Amino acid sequence: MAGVTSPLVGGLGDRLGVGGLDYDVPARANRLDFMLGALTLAALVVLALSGVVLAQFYDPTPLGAYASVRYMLEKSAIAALASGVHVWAASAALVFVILHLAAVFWRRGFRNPREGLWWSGVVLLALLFGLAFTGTVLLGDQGAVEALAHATAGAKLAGPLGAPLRADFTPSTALLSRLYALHVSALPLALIALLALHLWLIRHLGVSATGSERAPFASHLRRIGAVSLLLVGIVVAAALVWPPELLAAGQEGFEVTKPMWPFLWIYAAENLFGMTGMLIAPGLLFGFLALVPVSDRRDGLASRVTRVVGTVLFVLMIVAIAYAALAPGQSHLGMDMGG
Amino acid sequence: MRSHILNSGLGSARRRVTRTAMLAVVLVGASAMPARAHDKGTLRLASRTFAAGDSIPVTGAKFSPRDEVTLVLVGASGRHALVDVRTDSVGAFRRVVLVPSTLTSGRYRLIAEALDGDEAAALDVVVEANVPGGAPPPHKPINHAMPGMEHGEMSMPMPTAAPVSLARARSASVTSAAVLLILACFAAGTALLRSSRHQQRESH
Repeated sequence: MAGVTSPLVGGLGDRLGVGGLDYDVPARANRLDFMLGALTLAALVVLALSGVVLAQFYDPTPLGAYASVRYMLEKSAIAALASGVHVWAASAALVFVILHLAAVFWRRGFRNPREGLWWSGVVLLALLFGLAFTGTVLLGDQGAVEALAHATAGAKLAGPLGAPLRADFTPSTALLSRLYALHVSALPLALIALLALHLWLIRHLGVSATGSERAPFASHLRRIGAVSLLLVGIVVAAALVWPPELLAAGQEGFEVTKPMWPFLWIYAAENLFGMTGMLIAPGLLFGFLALVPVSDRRDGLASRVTRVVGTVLFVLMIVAIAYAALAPGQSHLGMDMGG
Repeated sequence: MRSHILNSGLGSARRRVTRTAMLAVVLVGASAMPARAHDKGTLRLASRTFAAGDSIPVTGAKFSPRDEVTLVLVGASGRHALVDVRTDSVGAFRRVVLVPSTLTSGRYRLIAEALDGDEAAALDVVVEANVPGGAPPPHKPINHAMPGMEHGEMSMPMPTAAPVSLARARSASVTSAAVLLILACFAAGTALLRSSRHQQRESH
């Protein structure tokens, strides 16, 4: 049997350039903290596949949206499962990308010559937040309407930069339809392009793990495949056990909900600083992340300060998420808070 | 005989001309009649009574898809245009409308005006006086029909952060397939993990 399959596999391998994967990586790269990026990628693949299923059922019009989401959850078992998988995979992707960023920051994997890797990762993080936001809005429920109201208010504060989030940017199309287009085309395309760059830079510059001990890349790839499959299993199981919730159809002019967990730190900033908080907090975080490779080029005071500031920001983000989750809801747009 | 044939031929030609002329008159008349460019819709309000300066959620349905209507309040004090709204692909909209704080109290008619000025939908409402500097009146309806609502008209429940109760779609085949997928992922993942360890040991 082996005699029959080997030439076939070998021939295919030659034609597909599989031999290019025959190289060594540091043995430390097989640790879980070096696989967080791969786990993010696995979650993104699950997101793309479940998203294709959801797109068959979704109606991207302002009022049709909610009805179609409700239809998925109540009338189609496969769409309901895909919806749960999509929601859990989105949370997994965000958890792993944040942990990946923290791990790379901690081991200073952004230093020369890996600045480009870091910056592409930071933009990927911003794109993932963009996908999470547009995905939230597409639900058309109360949380979605409020998320959109916050975003349009923030867009007004941002001036010309926020123009695409204004309802009158292209008057012939509803804002929700444009956000749907962003969610399923523009943002994924940008994500794929940046992922390709990110992966190419990893291949070109190598994994940032230290140590002289080496391991074949094939064993690393198998381990990545293994943890990715385990992740897929966990995500599907979570979707079965804890299916996604849906609020009532959104009504404008009210503020009664809190955002999805990845945005709670921004919500906390709005509690403290008002509407400008929603620009200050992300501006501060992404501004810092962009500066990290510049401020921490070699060991010294600047390097220590960068590490302290980064650690403080990370802890603050966790605390802010916990605070916003537990604190009573607040009105940031001066709207009715119900009850 | 020949003249009879000639006469009957002339007669049938005359009849054809007359029929054609009548058809033309009907067609011209039909084209001159104003075509209804939009559908009659329905408007829904949480409450038919509100105060000047209030923000009120207005829901519309059964209008022409992707059409524009203007919401107007018409009363003794005149005509007050509130907002232009655009219906979606199923001819519906939902919009929170600010009632001008300068409105005097009284009975008004909330009209959804089509682009041609036609009344596409209307509701009779009561506007209460605005209390200067006072707190805005609370929204009255919570999950029950308001007095004065027409038969079959529903109130809009006050939004909450609580999830709705869903009659979730279930299918034995989808659940079985999902469970199989989970088991396959765990089995394949564990096998890959073992083979990776084995390969790493061998390379040492």
